[in-house]
Amino acid sequence: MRTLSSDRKPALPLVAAMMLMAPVIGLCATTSPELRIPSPTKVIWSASGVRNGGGLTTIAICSNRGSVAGTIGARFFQYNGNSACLIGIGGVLPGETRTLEVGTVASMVDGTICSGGPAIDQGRVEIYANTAETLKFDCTILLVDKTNNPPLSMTRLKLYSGSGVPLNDIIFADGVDP
Amino acid sequence: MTAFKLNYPALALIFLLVGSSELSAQQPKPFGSGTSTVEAPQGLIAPLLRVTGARASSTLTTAIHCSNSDVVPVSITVSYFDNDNNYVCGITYDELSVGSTSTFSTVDTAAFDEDRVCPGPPPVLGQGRIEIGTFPLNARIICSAQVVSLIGSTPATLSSLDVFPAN
Repeated sequence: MRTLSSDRKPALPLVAAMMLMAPVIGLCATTSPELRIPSPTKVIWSASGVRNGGGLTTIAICSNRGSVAGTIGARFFQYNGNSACLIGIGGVLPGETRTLEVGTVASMVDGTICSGGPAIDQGRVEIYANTAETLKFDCTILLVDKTNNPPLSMTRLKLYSGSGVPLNDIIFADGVDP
Repeated sequence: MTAFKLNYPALALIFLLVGSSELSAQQPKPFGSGTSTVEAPQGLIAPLLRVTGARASSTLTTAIHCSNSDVVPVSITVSYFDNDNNYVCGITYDELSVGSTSTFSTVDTAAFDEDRVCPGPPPVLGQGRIEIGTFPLNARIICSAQVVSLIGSTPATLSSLDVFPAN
């Protein structure tokens, strides 16, 4: 168990706000070379409970259900709100599926992986996409066993919109449709 | 249900004068400040989210992860209830900073790094429910819940539970 508040060094709200408002490209020192998230972007999905440590890691699997090609990205955050990793994939065609991983997963293939596989215990994730109205992504975010194939552990994290609305409560006509 | 009739112009004026952070700081602490436990919060904090199927035993527990998606620090309390609706345990994280995440559980697990666990002997839930409340009330947080094995950094059991809005 982590010790209590003395072990926690919460980020200053101002710093967190600046990170959220800053341009996506070049923000994080641990980004993978393949990062190609154009600006402007928007957060389309979010989830809490991201883990990369022990035997578990976290992956996001996203399919383009829109009508134009687009970019999908994921920013993974530490427990204290600090950015741990930002990865993205451009040119995802309608119908294509891409996987974004904090660390390598033996049971999955073809994922884009955070450089260095940063430890996260536990944090959250924000899924980014272009702002094109006709670009839409469905995503599943999984907590999964890193090493075993088939995995001994695998479960889905609760999905929220980018503004924190639970998936089942999203009113798509209100403009939060991802 | 609302105990007081809100005067929104007056509230807006106060907000502008002192700023949201200052206003929050002046509110009485709803939870046990500086501790990992709280008195039974029933009746004090209206739940924002609910989870059913919570289990706590010699092999399993239920972990809750919550992140602050609001624009101000948020205090989060997680309350566990048994199958007979008896309050079993309440855990609070005071003023979780914006963007941060905290993990709650009835007991420590090998799979996660918990920030708050129930005090005293590990409680038993067979099975029950969880209420998640916030201060300020109705703050914007996102949470997930899992039933998880106590042992194994790659737990043999790991299953998500649905998180429902309380209202």
